[in-house]
Amino acid sequence: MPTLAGMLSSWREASLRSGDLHEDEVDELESHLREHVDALARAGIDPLLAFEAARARLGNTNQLTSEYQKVRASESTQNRLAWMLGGYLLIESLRTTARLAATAASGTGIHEQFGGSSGWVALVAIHAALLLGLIALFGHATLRASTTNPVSRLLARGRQLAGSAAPWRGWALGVVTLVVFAAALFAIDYGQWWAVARHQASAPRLRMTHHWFDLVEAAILPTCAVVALLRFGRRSLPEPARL
Amino acid sequence: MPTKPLIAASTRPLLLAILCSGESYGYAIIERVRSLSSGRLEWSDGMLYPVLHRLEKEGLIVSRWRTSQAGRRRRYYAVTERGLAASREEQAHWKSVDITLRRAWRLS
Repeated sequence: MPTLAGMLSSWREASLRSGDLHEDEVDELESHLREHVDALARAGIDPLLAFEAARARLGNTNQLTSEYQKVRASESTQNRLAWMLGGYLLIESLRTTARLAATAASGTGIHEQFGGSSGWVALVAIHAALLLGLIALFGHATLRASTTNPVSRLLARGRQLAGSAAPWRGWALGVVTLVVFAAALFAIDYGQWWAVARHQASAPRLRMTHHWFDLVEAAILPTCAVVALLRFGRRSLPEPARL
Repeated sequence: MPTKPLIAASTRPLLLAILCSGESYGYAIIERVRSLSSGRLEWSDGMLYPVLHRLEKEGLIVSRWRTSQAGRRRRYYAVTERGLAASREEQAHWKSVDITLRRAWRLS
């Protein structure tokens, strides 16, 4: 014999199974259904019939999804862009690590690759900047909705850090990203200049000017910092107005 | 009964106006619209929540989950300062449309 609790539970499971509605949204829709069923039951309608009526009025999963999609249309563009930037940063991080490993294996040494003791500063700074960039991106509000894929789960800690940050920490994160990035660039340039000055023979292998790709690269992290500033700075602002 | 596009256009100002009078939750908002329009404006229930979420993303309203005195868990929405300003702006726009239409109908 069907019960109201059972029907609500089935409806909830079906809505979540569709994969198009987030848990938070289903919670809210379920709360709405319960309100409507209660109101109809108070008017003397059988609870099971009341549930059917409330569900029909709310719309089926396809109709609900279509309504939510209208709102998410602009979000998905931001979402894609953020994922692209995140992917780029991850690849860049791996590329840097691989290059360092290859340099070390070939016997040239990290010391020579980056030049002088500033090479280590650059190494740490690059990875710190990449990490901050990733945290900034994956703390992005639109990405927090993606909780079903493994990458998002892996980065849950980063999102948690960014999401729970107090307002000033958001600003600090952006500023630190910029400073670390500037320090990394300076350290690399200084290191290369130093290496060239010390080892004239190996000078052709060390580039003094940035390739166009490096310029694009140089724009990525400040972009992340700006995203962090805008997202975290703004997130803290909305408060209920005093009416 | 107003057409679908007209209902859609009036959703935002109506929601802001209702929330300007105090925080509320989805089901109560729909009931309020029904009562204010004497049943002439029928919103589809499923359409309301995405619009509320959009307003929240725009920073015009904020939401929080709370348990009512009756023990029911609800998501309450409240207007922000920006929302108050947006509501005043909407009011001015709709009033000018209203005035223009009234004048035009008087001519015809």
